[in-house]
Amino acid sequence: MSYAYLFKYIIIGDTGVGKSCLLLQFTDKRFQPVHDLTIGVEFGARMITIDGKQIKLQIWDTAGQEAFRSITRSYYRGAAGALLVYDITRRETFSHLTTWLEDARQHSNSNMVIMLIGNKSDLESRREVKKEEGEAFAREHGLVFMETSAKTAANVEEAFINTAKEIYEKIQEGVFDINNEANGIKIGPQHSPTNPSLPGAGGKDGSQGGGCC
Amino acid sequence: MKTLDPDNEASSCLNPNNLLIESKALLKCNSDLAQSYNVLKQSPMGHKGQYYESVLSKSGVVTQDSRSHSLPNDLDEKNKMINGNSDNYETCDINTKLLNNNESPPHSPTQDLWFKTWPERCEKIKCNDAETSQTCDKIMTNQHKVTLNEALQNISLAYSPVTKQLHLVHNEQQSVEAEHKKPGHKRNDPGSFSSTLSSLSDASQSGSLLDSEGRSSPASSESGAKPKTKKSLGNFFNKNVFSSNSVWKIFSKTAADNPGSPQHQNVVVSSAALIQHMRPSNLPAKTEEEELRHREQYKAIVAAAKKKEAQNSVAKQKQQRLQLQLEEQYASSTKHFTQNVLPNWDNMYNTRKTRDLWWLGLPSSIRGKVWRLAIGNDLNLSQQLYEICLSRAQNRLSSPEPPKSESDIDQESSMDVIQLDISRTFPNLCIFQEGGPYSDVLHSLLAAYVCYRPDVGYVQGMSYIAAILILNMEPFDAFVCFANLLNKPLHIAAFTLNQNQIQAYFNAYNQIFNYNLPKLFAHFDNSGLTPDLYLLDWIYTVFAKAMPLDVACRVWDLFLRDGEEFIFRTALGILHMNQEQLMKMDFLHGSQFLTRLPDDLSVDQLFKSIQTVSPNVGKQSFNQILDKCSSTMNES
Repeated sequence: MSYAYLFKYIIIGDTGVGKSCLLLQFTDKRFQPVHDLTIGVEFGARMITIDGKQIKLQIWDTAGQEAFRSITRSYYRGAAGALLVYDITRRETFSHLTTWLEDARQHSNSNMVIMLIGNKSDLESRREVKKEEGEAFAREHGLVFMETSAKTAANVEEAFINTAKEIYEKIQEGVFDINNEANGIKIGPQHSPTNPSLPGAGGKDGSQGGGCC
Repeated sequence: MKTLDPDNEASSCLNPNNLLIESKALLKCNSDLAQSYNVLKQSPMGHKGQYYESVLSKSGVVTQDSRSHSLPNDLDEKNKMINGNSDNYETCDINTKLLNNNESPPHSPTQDLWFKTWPERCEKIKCNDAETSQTCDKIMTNQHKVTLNEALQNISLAYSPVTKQLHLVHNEQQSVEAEHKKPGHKRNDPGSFSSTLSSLSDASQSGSLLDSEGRSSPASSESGAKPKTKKSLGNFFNKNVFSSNSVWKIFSKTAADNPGSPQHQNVVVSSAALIQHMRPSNLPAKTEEEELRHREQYKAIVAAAKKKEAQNSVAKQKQQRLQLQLEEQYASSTKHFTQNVLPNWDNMYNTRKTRDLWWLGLPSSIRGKVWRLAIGNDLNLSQQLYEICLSRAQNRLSSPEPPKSESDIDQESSMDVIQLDISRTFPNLCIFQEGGPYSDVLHSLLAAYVCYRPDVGYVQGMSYIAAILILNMEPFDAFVCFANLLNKPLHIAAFTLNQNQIQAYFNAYNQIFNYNLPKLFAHFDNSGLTPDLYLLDWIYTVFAKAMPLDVACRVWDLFLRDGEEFIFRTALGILHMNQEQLMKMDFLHGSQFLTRLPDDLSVDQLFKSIQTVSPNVGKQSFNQILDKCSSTMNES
């Protein structure tokens, strides 16, 4: 359970583009054809390794319906990475990207890494948005782009891990202030300079220890 | 309990000629045995130990009809029919040894007695009247000279396919009639019978396991009528036909006592059977130690089986009691609601008795009606209005051209989302999915609501509320309830995304949370687990998404009785119920736990927890707290 860093992710995008399915594929390696709709926010987590370091991803999967934006907006705060997802078989989900991006930029910290994801790449016959369009949008707005399929798991790992790599690089470059949790990065308990590891301290990662018995 | 095919056996019983042919080839013994063997052979043998032998006893006749059957215990009628038919050719005298388990043993004249034997050892037993106390050998030599009927009448043998031997059975004037509703005897070790020696009394004591104590009463008219046969068993054993150690285990069971109702079908009726403890002749004799050891092992097995049986029956009885209690409670609740409350709602809905019954959960037969009255129709929605909304919605859904005005665009986009969400509503129930029976109903209800309230439109979460109403009432009623429910303060605030008002609710909730569960509140506060992370889902769907449907309906019952404060009380009930676990969880685990509640949520435990939390803080009611929070929110 020990990790060097914890990154907070947020998954955003229109309703029904497959946000929850991407998360489920990444955390549980399975695909659920009929998924509950998401109200508010749901959570996932997984440990990955980058550069030999254990990194825990804490992923916030948000409701996609426009009505909920006023609520989900507050979840951008403290996110180090965001997956902005559209559905390649529904053009309107692509058209809404601009508003999503504006929202994200406005309510997150400026260094948040945003990965643009065109999901449902397995449904080639129903494709409405060309891959080139996605690439062009990403280039224009300085995003990383990838087409994925939560169903076949194509590129799902890569989407999450590449985002983490980029965040990790930014940490190495010193762009992120890792001591400020508002950036969505937490240093693991063993690695924290402010929390020297105590021998036999029970290995709990939470340092709050509310003092009740 | 395995159900054996009655036709199969019936045919085997009704065609003695076939059996005779086969018997010669296979068994070299008389037709009676062949029949018995045939029954054994033809009956599906999927389940170990599920054999029944029926012995017909007919009073008024000195002899008794007997046949062997393998029949399911709920086939009384069929059995009677077969018995009737069999009279013509099958009149095998018996003097069945019926060990009676009941205090009052007499069986009715036409009553069938069912015997259970164990196929593992393949002791298929036929009982007969051994009037002349013939030895088995004698019978064997005789059998070629007699007709089928004669053979059937004269022989009291059982054939064991495993030992390939005939076993003569004799009946004393004891009858066994086990209590019904006892679990069947399950043999853990089928092998135990072959090598175990015990006396007849031994065997019968343990034979019926639990029932053995009650067994006994030498009985009845039949026995009195045939004193002569009393000796014959003794003779039989004295002559050492098989071996001096041959014994029979006797189980009893009465088909007539079988409860026929489906409700009791899962209860295994105790059985009657003869089980022979015979060592196959082709094996060398056992040493004394071996014998002793086997006897000990057998005793242990019987004791274990007895114990298990006792445990099972206790558990089963308890379960039955609870079930019965629940059914009675629902019956009285249904009666009270239909007779007293529903016709006189305004005066009755708030009485002590009504509220108490309501708390225990509304029976599903009246749930919809009570919900409808509890929600009311303050909006005065009429069928006409509903139909207008419905047809407008259907027009919109079918017309491809996009509407022009601003508000229409909003409405249309939310209509699109409905389509996406229908199949994502209760996905596990498979009734709202495309092509499912309620898919269109749900779709049109939500679309009609969007036409009725374009200012609100469709917001995710509504589909669950509409679905749960549709599951309990007719579409029009569901629409009325849906619209009225969404017009109440909490849900209008939620679905119009009135942030301030929602925050006021969260603040009020935090106060009662802190009041009821201060330690957990502090823990959540420290780890940053704010109510919006888990409470939103619970409010928007009133737990329909988070909980199993039956539990959610119970919560809905009380939500409609007590109003929106019950949602917050239930939330605290969930936290209270899982307090210890939640205290150990960090932010991530805690929020994951609360957004995905365990599937096996116990409704009784939940309601116990809900009872322990108060929606009030001291003397302040939830609504008073809420009012304060709202006014503070509005000021700031």
